[in-house]
Amino acid sequence: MKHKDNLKNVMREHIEKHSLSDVQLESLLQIKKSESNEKTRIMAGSNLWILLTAVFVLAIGNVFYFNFTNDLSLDEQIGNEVAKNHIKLKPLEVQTSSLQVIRKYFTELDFIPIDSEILKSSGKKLIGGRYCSIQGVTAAQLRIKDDKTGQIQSLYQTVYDPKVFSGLPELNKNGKPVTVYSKGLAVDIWVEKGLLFALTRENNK
Amino acid sequence: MFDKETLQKLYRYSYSLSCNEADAYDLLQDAIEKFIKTEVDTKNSTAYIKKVIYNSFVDDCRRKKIIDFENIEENELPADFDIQTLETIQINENLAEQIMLSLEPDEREIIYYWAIEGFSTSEIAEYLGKPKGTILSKIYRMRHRLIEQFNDGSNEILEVI
Repeated sequence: MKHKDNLKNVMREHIEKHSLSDVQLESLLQIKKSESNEKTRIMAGSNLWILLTAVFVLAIGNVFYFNFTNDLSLDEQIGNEVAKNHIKLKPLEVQTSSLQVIRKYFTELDFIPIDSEILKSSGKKLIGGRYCSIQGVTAAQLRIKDDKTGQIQSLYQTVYDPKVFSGLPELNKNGKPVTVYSKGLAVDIWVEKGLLFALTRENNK
Repeated sequence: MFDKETLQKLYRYSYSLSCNEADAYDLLQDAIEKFIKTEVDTKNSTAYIKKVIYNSFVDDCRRKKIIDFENIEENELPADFDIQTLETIQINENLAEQIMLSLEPDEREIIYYWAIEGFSTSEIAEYLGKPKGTILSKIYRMRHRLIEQFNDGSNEILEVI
């Protein structure tokens, strides 16, 4: 048995034992780097005319960007959001290959996560999940793995609210998933048994 | 913006709140992303990130109903009580994780500022923007609970000197 020490020393040693790995540190520094690059780019325009031109270009760019964003269809908006979240591959809150364990974990959802017909025969393995949201609606982000290829995919499930997600293909009405391409990924979106699904996969286009 | 040492400190702060390495990393990553999107005075960037981490953690807990954040009564406090009285507790080193898990997030935050940053009670109160009496009440309760929970009477695990 280890020896006793005062509470302050013991807690300090315990907390300091936990540290970011080199990979995590590098990943966080990369976020910093992109920000610094952006700031450098902006500050480089010390000349007033260059600055004014930059402001003008930014303003025009914003107008185009917002018009473009507002013009995105619902499936494109979902695809963008899902692809963006998948790329981050944030840590799983629960790691399991059991859907029962997933169901027990996600107690704050307004639905029960299910096994989609599309994935049942695919041989892909569930590896865990975490809470997330799609278009502001709370969702379960499940992660699955194809043991043959090693490909990791995110499967989003949320309750299908026709007011929020109208016009998406429904499997039980013979609909087929719609595919959106975003950030180098393909995202299949469909409605099944009252739930909205979004599944990321490698873009084979 | 942040060097490796600062990131490690922020991570340990995040870990002190969540008691979970994956959650700690997640909270820190989200906070940095939010920081980038917001124009903040860079002189206070570390404090800002800590605030974002804390708020996100509290929001997560409330959403998942993990912990109820309750207000602390200040009327139970002895006049001469201070954070240094925590140093009268001697504990077995292999109890550290168990103790962390037994504490409330607000208490773990105090432990972080006391043990890692070396803050006094007044400094913790000032930094967190809370009355000193509130911080002292939390420390008082924490001390009581630790002694009650971990002192089995033999003084082998926990001893008050």
